Order: sequence, then structure tokens, then C-alpha cells
Amino acid sequence: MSTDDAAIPAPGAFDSRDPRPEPTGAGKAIGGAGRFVDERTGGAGFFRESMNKVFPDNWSFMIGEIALYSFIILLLTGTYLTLFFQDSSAEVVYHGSYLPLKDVPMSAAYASTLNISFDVRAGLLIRQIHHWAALLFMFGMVVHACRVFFTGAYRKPRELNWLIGVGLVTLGMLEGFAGYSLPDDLLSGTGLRIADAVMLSIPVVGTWVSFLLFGGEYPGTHIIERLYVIHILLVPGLILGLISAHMGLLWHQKHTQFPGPGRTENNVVGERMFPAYAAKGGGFFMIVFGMLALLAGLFQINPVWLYGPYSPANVSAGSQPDWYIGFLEGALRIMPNWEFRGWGYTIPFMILIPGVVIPGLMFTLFALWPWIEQRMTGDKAYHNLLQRPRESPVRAGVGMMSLTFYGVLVASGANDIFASIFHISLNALTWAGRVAIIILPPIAYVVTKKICEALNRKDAEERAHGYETGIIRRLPSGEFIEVHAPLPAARETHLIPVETTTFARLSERARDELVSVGSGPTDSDAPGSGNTTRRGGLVDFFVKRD
Amino acid sequence: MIGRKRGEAATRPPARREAPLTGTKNDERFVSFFFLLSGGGAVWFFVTYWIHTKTDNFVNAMYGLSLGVCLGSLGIGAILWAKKLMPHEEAVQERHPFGSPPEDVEAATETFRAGVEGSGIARRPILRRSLLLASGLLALPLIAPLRSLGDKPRAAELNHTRWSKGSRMVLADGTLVKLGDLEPNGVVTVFPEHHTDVEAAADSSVLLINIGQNNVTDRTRAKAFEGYVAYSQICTHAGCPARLYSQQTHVLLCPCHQSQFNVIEGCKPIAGPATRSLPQLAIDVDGQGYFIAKGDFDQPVGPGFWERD
Amino acid sequence: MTSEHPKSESMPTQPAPEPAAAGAPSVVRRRRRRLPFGITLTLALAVTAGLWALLAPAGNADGGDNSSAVAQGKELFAQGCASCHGIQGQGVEGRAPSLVGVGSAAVDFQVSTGRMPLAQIGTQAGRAPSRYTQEQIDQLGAYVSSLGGGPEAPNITEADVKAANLSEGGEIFRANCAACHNFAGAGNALENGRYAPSLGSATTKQIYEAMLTGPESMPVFGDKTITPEQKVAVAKYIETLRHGQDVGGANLGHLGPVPEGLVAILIGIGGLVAATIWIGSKS
Repeated sequence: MSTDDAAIPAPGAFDSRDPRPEPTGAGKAIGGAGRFVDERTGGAGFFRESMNKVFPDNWSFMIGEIALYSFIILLLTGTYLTLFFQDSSAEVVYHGSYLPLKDVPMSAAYASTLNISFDVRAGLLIRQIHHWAALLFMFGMVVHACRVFFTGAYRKPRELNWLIGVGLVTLGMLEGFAGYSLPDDLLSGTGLRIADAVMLSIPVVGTWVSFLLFGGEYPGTHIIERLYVIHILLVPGLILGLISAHMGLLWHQKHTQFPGPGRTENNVVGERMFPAYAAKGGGFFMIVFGMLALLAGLFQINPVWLYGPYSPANVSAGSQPDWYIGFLEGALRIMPNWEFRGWGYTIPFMILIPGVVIPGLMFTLFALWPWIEQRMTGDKAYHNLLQRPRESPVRAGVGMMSLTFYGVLVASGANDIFASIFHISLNALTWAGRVAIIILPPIAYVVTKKICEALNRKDAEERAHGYETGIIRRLPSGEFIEVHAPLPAARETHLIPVETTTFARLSERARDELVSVGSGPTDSDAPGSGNTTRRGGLVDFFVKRD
Repeated sequence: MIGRKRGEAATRPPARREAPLTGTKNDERFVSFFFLLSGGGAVWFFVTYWIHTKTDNFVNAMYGLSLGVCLGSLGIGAILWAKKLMPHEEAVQERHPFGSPPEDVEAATETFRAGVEGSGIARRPILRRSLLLASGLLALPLIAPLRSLGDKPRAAELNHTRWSKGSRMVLADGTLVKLGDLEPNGVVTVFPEHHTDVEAAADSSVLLINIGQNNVTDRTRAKAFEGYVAYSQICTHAGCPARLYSQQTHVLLCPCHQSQFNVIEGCKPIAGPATRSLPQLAIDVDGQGYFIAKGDFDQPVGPGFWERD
Repeated sequence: MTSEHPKSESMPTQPAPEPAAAGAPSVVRRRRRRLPFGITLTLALAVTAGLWALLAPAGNADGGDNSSAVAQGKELFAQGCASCHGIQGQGVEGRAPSLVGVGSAAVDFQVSTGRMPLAQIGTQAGRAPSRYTQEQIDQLGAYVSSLGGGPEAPNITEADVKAANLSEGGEIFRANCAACHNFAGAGNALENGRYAPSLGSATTKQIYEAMLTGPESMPVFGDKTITPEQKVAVAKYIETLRHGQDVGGANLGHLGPVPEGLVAILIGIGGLVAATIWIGSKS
């Protein structure tokens, strides 16, 4: 690759510097197609930059892709399902091939779902892929959010991306709830009923919200049709928009990376997009899709024919929502029975608090966390290098505390299943949930913080004294000591954090130091300076500035 | 070629020295194996689709396995290709600074300021305020049509069900319930006659229980008939049917959030998040021996809401 | 086995022994003139038995069998049940309820599912292998029935099951049973340690009897609210849940979204994160 600047050809002229033979066959066709597009868009430069874009290659950076690819698969399978699903609450009598429901009256929505499951070839597979993909989409987002949180990737300049992510999680929950309510089966209908109760509990406007959404008193005859529009048009549109913004920001700001040899705040070290990263990305997409196909073939999910058509007079024992709504279910279960009644009005706190207030607070804190942390640390510097979770014990503690809080709620949502399997009293489990939600999160915070601090001390000791070899030596004085060896170079480099975030109010001087270390374009590591060790095979690759 | 003068011989540019291929021939065969496996999976899926018209567990598993093999092998092959057959490089790319150079920010601010100045909005209060008014009022036509989505919440619907004085009780299939049909410790869901549809079930489904005469207390006697009591089935917590009846302990459990009600004591909530008793329906038996309601409930059924007294 | 034949009047009496002459062998003479006592007795009994068999009034066969079943049952009851339920089945306060009027249906259910005899006094009796054969259970049922009547154990034939309406059974199941037993009969918890058990091992007869008699926490579903034909239909539906047209793959216990979520995180995310670790590893 030549870096000869002298013979730059005029735009549009044939670039004769690149001594390649003329393409033949497929190469000619590709080149021809490329030229065709370029002559109309001028996109060759962008195309080349994209191919050369460098991505760091840590495995944990691919977790977000689980969510992204699951969403694409949701779009594909969902489109297929819309070809067969009927979003209608009109009553029909079933005459399909599932015999236990023969001649049973049900909504057209439910009947069409049975049709997809039993009478459309591969329909059941597509339906199950769709539902498993929804679960993996949500899990992927949550695990990705945890990775981002614990490594501090949301810090400046990526707070916007964090906000977009919180928005995506919220929209995903709404989308999933709307989606699994479409078949109008007993389990999801029960969930709709509870959602209505949450709406009703809102003071002043609650009944209006409920009546406007359902078109009248619950259940009305419009909700399936409305959920359908929400599920196939409105929310996917919003999600697509947010995902595009999310990817766009990531593209523009470049991905973060862990500290390591040659890695600074001002560069990205990894692989180029084409061919390696694209191959891995595309391959991973296939693996996600393959995993979903396997799950859909081997594990039953959402067997609506067993739940039966929805009636507000029927219910099944052990009714739970899909996992990502489970925390709301658990909150509703363990909430004590508090209600306000007076002056002709009622405020059902036992529904309002777990259904509206607590999730509202949780997601608000979730969204505002980057600014909360900035406030607590006074750290307003740019950060492109990640931290290991232990390097910020307070952040790790807060994270584990939040996950514990969330986890107790999710577990409480399934308390009757646990009571049934483990033969524990249901009443006892309800009380266990109430106690656990208060005492477990602080315990998780303290334990996590202590573990991180201990790990930090160990790391500091290793830096200072080397690691323990296990070899005991006796000194001439008679004393026994353990031999410590200095850390190997790679590891030592890795252990030096760019900065360690402390959450005490920093002194002016310290804050200034932090700001100067992390930021800015004028920093030390000019390309090619070779001032840090690099692995063999390293290629300095200079690209045009994006 | 554009760069050549006319008449110059078309010399072939020197062939670029190609870098040696990464990985061994075995690696290549290994990767190709996965691609072939993927193709096999695709054919397997297609054949399954072709020959199986009925869905059962076996067919669904075949679909899943074949598609899983098809896609997964393709993915594994692509990744193995990247790991084994593509040259390993570690590329370094500079980040460009975040935030534009101060001159750019300055220039942008200045341009914006000049534009605002040009529009005159800062110095024309009448203009500005009238625009603000218009913008605010624009919300009206945008939001108002949402009102058409549903009926206004009316007390008639919120506070009343389909039960009225003399409504005969029927089962879900329309069969009337006669005195003597319900055994001691028996329980059955009933609806008002002619109101067994889904809409009615949402607020009018009632649990009729034969608890026996000696379990009827002063609290429940007025609305009971001999040993029979009737309660709204709609849980006062979140509206699920609270119909898990433990006949030995006379406890009614709602499966959604585990609210528990004591049937002997007027379905008073004794555990869980429910705050209000299940409303009791006053019942009687008519001349022909059929159970009837003496009127609607004396309070709204189901979950609480703001206007609930 | 003791014979209960009435004492016969024709039992010969022993003649009084003659006074022995001095020095004469009077014993020998006595023996030659009489049979030994044992043989006489046996002959007498045989004659009596024959006369009884010929002359006793012919009893009705059922009555004879039933009374024998009741009697057998009474014995079994005395051995296995009376210690808690009382010798007359009247119940013992704080220990076991009265069985007067529960009927043979309840007995057949409780004993054939192994719930009774109660292995351990706890919150709720669980299903266990039955300690009695079906014949013994029928006898126990007959005895308990004789104490005060009550619902009879049903006799459900193949034809009954074939004629039952599967869809109707499903609708009744979902309206009455799913609330406690779960949509697929997998069972679930009730309050304070009680539970509605899984229906996975219940036979058609047991399901019928449970609905009829309302064991433990379960309410009673009498024949006027769910007719006998409907009960058989419900049992048929439950059977379909076990072996019927259920599709999609492994059913994860028919417990709904909870195991589905576990599979998604453990197998789905677990597998995919393993894949990312593999992809990101240096080869």
C-alpha cells in the first residue's frame, strides 16, 4: 500500500498508482457495479472508510449484537406471521385440526394463531422462532446493558447512546407485551386485565386512560386491533429509529476498548471491518439465527392451544408474564395491601406503587445514571478506554445492588411456581420477598464493594511486589520468604488503569489531572511513535480521517 | 487507459506480489465442510417442508434441527474462516477528537445568531408571542382526535354490573341454577341470565358457594340464602378471577398475586395485596326454585379506581 | 377357619363305661363294640354338613358377596383406618374426619391414590403408591358405604370415554379446574402450604371421583353442576393433555413462561455468550 502523496490523481481519473491487474470475471462485474453506484452517489470514499474501520475484538463487545440480530430475525419472522394472523376480536367457531378445541367459540385472532400453529406448514416453527427471538432480544439488551454499565462505557461522550439504550429496553418491553397479547389467549388476556388495573389505579386520569385505550369498559372489542397496530407499526418503527441512532453514534464515536498494549484513549486497536470483522459479525448473525431455530424446534414456547381462548371469568394457576415483565408481576405480588380511601376518591397504592411508581423510579435512575455518576465523581472527561468492574467499586456495588433488587422482584413474580416445586408455603414466600427486597440490595452493595476493593488491593500489590511464585526461599538470616516475580509485561501494561474513578469529592488539582489525562486531540500517542510494546504482526495502518 | 499517450504499447502493469495464504489446506477443508453441512441442512429443511404437511412434534423438531444446522454451520464456517484463514492483523486507527474546533463552534454560533437576528424574532414581541400561542394551540388538533378512541368513563359502567333485581343465575352454557344443584362445599361460576358473553364476564361473573347454614354469620346472612353465598369473582386487587376455593379452610385465593379472602367473613382479605373484600351479591330463590339476584352489587366490583367511593 | 355350623342334635353320646370284671380283659371287648371318638365326630359333622347344604334356604348371591365384601372391608378398616377415623368411622376430633356419608367414591379415590392411610400428619396428603389392591379398596368402599351411604364409585367404560365430548371437557376444565390445577393439570400452590396436585398420574376414575367428592381442599362438583357425562369428558381432556396433540417440542413441565425464561437465559444466552467467547478468542 503506497503512501506516495505526490501523484494523487484528479477526482474521476483512473488511479494508476495501484498496480493491480484489470479485474476479470466476477471481479469485473463487482467493480462495474461499484463504479455504477459511485458515479451516482460518490460513495467510494465512504465505502473504503467503512471497510477499513477498526473494531476492538473483545468477546463481550458482541453481546449487543445478540439483541441486534434477534431484532432483525423478529422483523423477518414477524412479517411472515402478519401474512396469516387476523387481528380481530370477532367471535368465530374453530374448525381447524386441533381437536380439543373443535367447535369452541373464540376470537378470530386466537383462531388464526391456532391456524398458524397447526395448519400452516412450518408456521409453528416461525411462530416459536419469533417468540424465542423476543426473549433473546430482551435478554441480549439487558446483558449488554450490564456489560456497558460495569465497564463504564456510558461515560462521556456516550451518554446519549446510554439513553437510547434505556429507550430501547423500555420499547422492547412494550413491544413484547403487545405481541404476546395478540393471540388473545387465557394467559396473555389475564396480563391485559392486570395492565388495565394498573391504568385504573392512576389518580384522576386512570379511568380515562383505560377507557380510551380499550375503547370503553374493559375488555371492549378494540384492544386486539389496537395492539396489532402498536406491535407491527408504531413501536417497531420507533425501535428501528433508535437502533439506527444507536449504531450511528457507535459508528461515529467508535467503539470503546479495554486498556492494553498499544491501546490509548486516542486510538482503536483491533480488526478492520473487511474482511475479518464482517465475517465474524455475519457468522455470529447466522449462529444467533441457528440457535433460535434450534430452540424453536426443540422447546415448546407459548402453547396457546393449552391456555384456551380468553375469558375474564377464567384463569390458570401459575399465571406469569414473559420474563421481562416478571419484575412488575413480582412487585405487584409482594406489595403490602395499602390503599387510600377518602372524600369520595380511592388511590389503590398497592397497584400504583408497584405498577407505576417503582418502575418509573427504576427506569428514571437507570436513564440518568451517567449524570448521577458524573455528579458524584466530578469526572467530566472523555473516556474511550473501559474500566474493569473492580476499578470502580462503588459503581460495581450500585450495579449489583440494582441487579439484586431487580432479581428479587423477578423471583417473586414466580413465587407460586417455587412454592409448588419446592413445597414451601406460598404465604411464607410472599413474606420472604418483602423482606428480601429491603435487606438483600444493601448487602449486595456492601459485599460487591468489598470484593472489588480487595481485588484492587491484590492488583496493587502485584504491581508493587510482583506475583507470588509459590517458591519458598530461606534467607541466610534464617527467615523464610516467598519469592515474588515481576509481572509479565503484557499483564503489567493491562493493570495500569488510565485512571481509577473514585467517588469521593475530588480535589481541584486531582480533577484537573483527570481532565487532562483523558481528553483531547493533542495527546501523546502519535501514530508510528512506537512508544509502547506491540505484539508481533502489528500493522500500522493509516486511514483518512473519518 | 486515460493516463497513456496515444501509440504507447499497452504494457501490462507488474503483477502484484500476492501475500501467502494464511492457514493450512486442512483448515480450508474444515471450513468448507461446514459450508457443505449448511447446504445439507438447507436441503433437509426443504425436503421436510415438501413431504410433511401436518405439524407434529417430530416435524417441528426436524424443521428446527435442519434450519439450526443450516444457519449455524454457515455461521461457524464464516467464523472459522475469519479465525483460521484470514490474516491476523492488529490494526490501529486514530480517533478524531470529539467536539469541533472552537473556531467551528464560534462560527456556527455566529451564523445562528445572525439568522435569529435576521428573523427579527428577538425584537418583535408581538410576533413572538403570537407564534408561541399558535404553536401551543397546534396541540389541540393533534391531540383532540385521540378522544375518539373510547367512551368517557361513566359511573353507570364503572359502578354497575349486569346484575339487577330478579336476574336469574345461569352457568356459562346458559343452564339455570336450581336450589339443590350445588352440593355442600360445592362452588360454581354463574352469570346473569342472557349475559354470558366475554364483556359481561369481565364484571358480572359471580362465584356461588354452598358453605352450609352453620357457616353463615351475621355479617353475611342478609345477602345469603340459607347456606349459599355469592361473591363477585373479580378480584378487588387487579381483576383476575379469584376462584381458587379451598373448601376446608374456606379461603378464596386469587392466582395472579396471591390475595386471599376469608369466605366465612364476607370474603375479607386476609393475605396478599388486596385491600377490599369481594363484594357480596344478595341472592334469593324464586318461585320455581331458581337462584336469583336481589339486585346489583352495593359497590363497584373489581380493581380500585380514582372515582371509586 | 372355624365352622359356624349349628350344633347337631344327632351327636352320639358316649355310653357310660361298664364296670370292669375282676381279671377280665373288658377293654378289648369295649373297643370292638364302639368307634373311636374322633371318627364318630367327623362322621357326625359330615352328616350335619350334608343335611345343611341340602336343606338350608338358598341365600341371594349378591347379598352374600356384599356382606362378605362389607365384612372384609370392616376388617381392613379396623386394621388400617380405625386408629384415626374411629372404629365406626365416626371420626376423631382434631385427627380425622367422619366417614359417614362420604361413600365408596371417596374411599376409592383416597386409597387408590395412596393418600390414605395417611403416611404423615402434615398439611396435605400427597399421592403415593397405593397400599391396597383394587379388590381390597372395593371392600373398604363397600364397608364405608354401609356406614352411611354417599356417592358410589363409578363404573366408567371405554364406550363412555369414547362418547365423551373432548371439546366440552376442555371448556369445563378451563372454567373450573385450571384455576387451581394449572392450564395443563401440572398443579400449583394454594395458600399456606396447601396445593392442588399435578394431574399427571390420575386415572379417569380417580378424576371422576375427585370431582364428585371434593377431597381435601378441592370443592365438590356435584352431578347437577357437572353431569357424569361431562365429568368423563373432563377426564378425557386431561388424558389428551398427557398424550394428545401437544406440539412444539419439549414442554418444560407445562409451567408457562417461567421455565421458558430459564431456557432462554441458560441455553439461549448461555450458548450465545459461549459463542462470543469462542469468536473473540485468539486461535
